[in-house]
Amino acid sequence: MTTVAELKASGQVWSLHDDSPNGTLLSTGFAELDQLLVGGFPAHTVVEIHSDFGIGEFRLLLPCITNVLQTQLLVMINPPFQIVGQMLFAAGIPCEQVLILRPATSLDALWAAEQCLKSACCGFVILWQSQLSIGQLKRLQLCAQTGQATLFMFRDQRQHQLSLPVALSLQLTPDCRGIYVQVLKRRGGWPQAPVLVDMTGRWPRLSIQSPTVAPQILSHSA
Amino acid sequence: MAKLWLYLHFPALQLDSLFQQPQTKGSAFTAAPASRGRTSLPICLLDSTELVVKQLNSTAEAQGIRLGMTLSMASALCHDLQVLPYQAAQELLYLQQVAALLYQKSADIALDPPSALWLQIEPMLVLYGGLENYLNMLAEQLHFLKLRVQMALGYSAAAAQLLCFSQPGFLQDQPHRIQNALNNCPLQKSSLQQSVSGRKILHQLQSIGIETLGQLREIPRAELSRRFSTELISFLDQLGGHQPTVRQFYQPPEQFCQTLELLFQLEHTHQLQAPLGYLLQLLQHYLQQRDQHCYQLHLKLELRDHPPLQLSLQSARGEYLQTRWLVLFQLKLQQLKLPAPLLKMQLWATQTTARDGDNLRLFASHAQQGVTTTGAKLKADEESTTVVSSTEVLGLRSLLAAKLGDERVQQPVWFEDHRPEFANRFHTLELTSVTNEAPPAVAGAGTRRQPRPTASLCAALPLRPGFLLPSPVPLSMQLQLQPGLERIQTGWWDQSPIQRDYFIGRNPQGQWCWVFKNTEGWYLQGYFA
Repeated sequence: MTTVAELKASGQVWSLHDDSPNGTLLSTGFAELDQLLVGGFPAHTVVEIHSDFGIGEFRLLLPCITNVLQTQLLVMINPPFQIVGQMLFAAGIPCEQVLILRPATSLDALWAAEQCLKSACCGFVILWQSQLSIGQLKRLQLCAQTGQATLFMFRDQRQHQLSLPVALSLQLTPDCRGIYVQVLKRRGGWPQAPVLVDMTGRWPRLSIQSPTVAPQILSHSA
Repeated sequence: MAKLWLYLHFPALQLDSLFQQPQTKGSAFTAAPASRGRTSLPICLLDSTELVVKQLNSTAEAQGIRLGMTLSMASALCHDLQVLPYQAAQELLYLQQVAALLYQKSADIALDPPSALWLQIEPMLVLYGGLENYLNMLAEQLHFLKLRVQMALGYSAAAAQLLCFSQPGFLQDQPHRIQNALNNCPLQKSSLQQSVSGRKILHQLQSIGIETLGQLREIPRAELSRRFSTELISFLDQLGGHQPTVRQFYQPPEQFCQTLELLFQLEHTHQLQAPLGYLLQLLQHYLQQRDQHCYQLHLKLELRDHPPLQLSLQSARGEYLQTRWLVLFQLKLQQLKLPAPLLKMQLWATQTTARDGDNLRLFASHAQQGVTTTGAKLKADEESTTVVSSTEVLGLRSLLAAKLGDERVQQPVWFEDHRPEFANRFHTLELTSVTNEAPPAVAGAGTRRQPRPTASLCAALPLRPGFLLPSPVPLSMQLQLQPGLERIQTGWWDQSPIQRDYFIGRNPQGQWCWVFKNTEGWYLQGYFA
């Protein structure tokens, strides 16, 4: 009896009746996503996001980062293209607080992520890397906890990958109004239907309100 | 009365400065140069022109090897003798390093190349409260260097030198005792021996039966000047302190620079740690005495039959501790493969500043415990910008740059330009233009400080994609374009004019693309990820 209570207290066992899972939650800035995640992204751990590039997956994180990041750094490791400082600035993130790392190998990238996470001066680390073992994940989680930082990890669309013991795993699919978020795994949660995160309010030019309007189709071959 | 001088002669300076393998693991001090009295390999330095033994360690001496022996005789006496070439230039470098260290404790130092120093100690005796205290301090410093040394006192620089060569260890400051000792000095040991004309004079003196200085001094000066050249007269004047021997005192260099020659050739980078640790220990000693930080270190590795390698290491926050620098160097050395065995290493510091910023951290609002979710991000508070450049951030940047390479740690920066290629740039961890006065800012050199993002400022900015391609590529996909376009027509003044109509489009995969059309066609430039 006592052991179950102890396990519950340490967060290793949870029951469906506990509505608030342990740990700090960071509001995502999107009401429907907050509702889906019962509060927001879990803080100081690893959040895994399976997504294609360019569908608005980075913008999904921006409100949260802008709100939470005070004076700490935002570190981006191996982003697919050149980061536009102007866009970050427009989102409210000063360029002095952004570091972009381009390590040569994936092992170097993981090393850099660990160093940044445990340095206690980074608020968020965003890592673009598909391959990760359970051991590496555990190390990252420990570092995130030590340094009070949150790691967002962008991975390819989930194919034949091993399911990792992350606190939160999301899968994103594009939509013309925003982005569909499906929770693959959430500590203290259970599977739910995908939810559309509406981005028309924040980025009206990056959403198509009514697909019925005859779109101007450009067909061009180089 | 003439001033009191101390003459320090290092009979085996180059040999003692050789770095040998540390005998015991542990503290950095054991990883020091070869110390005497320790059972180690017999080593001697060979004069490469005359092929005679020039310097030797105690182990070699115990085997019966003496100075001036030929190589064949020495190697016949001792089968495992290690022979290295004697290099006067190298020894002078070591001598300067010794002078740099002693300069912290004693003001007036003059070099007597290749292996001796003069210290003018009269003013120092007041500071240290007597000769005994001064000599104790000196012994402590010399113990740190682990060098064999002979010394003597005299009331002129030349007298101290003569006494040191004839009666090493003469450390008495009563004038009559010094005079007595000087009178007994054989002239063969004097500095006249060093020049050809001087040797001729000595030969002349010997042939008329004058062997010691006392005998020479009994001859009236007028007689001497008639029979001998002016060199002898000036020698006597220098001895009496009427004519200065030392013309120039030592001036310490602005920078820290230390060289270490290795006894064994090292082939693996992980073996570098011990000698490097010793050099960094010296650096720490140097910086601590000056209360300074160092921002940039250079390490030159001289290799056998190979051009030397040079490593540069930067620390954005400035370090002085040996352990911190060693961690940074280890990261750097992990990627290094020695193409040839290592013979010698040189470490020098180029950017040092006074260490006064450490306490700033106490007042910085650097509360990491409990990240608050209350978004007060957009208020432009000047206070928070100081925290960004806090020492932890600079330390992290140094660490990352050391391991990944300087060019792989970037920071975005944007300029007010309508052309996307010009508006968004990156700069790396640049510290080259940091002056001694200003600590390096995170924003780097050469860029102006950017304003904090405020709500009004952000709203005025046009919508830009988060990711740009390295250069625009011709468009080769179907897009559903959003209504409205943005025309950018600018740059006519600086040779790179553009005239483009920018559109936002969505492709069938759901990607939001930033495309433009110019006179040549359609191009893809970025993604609104």
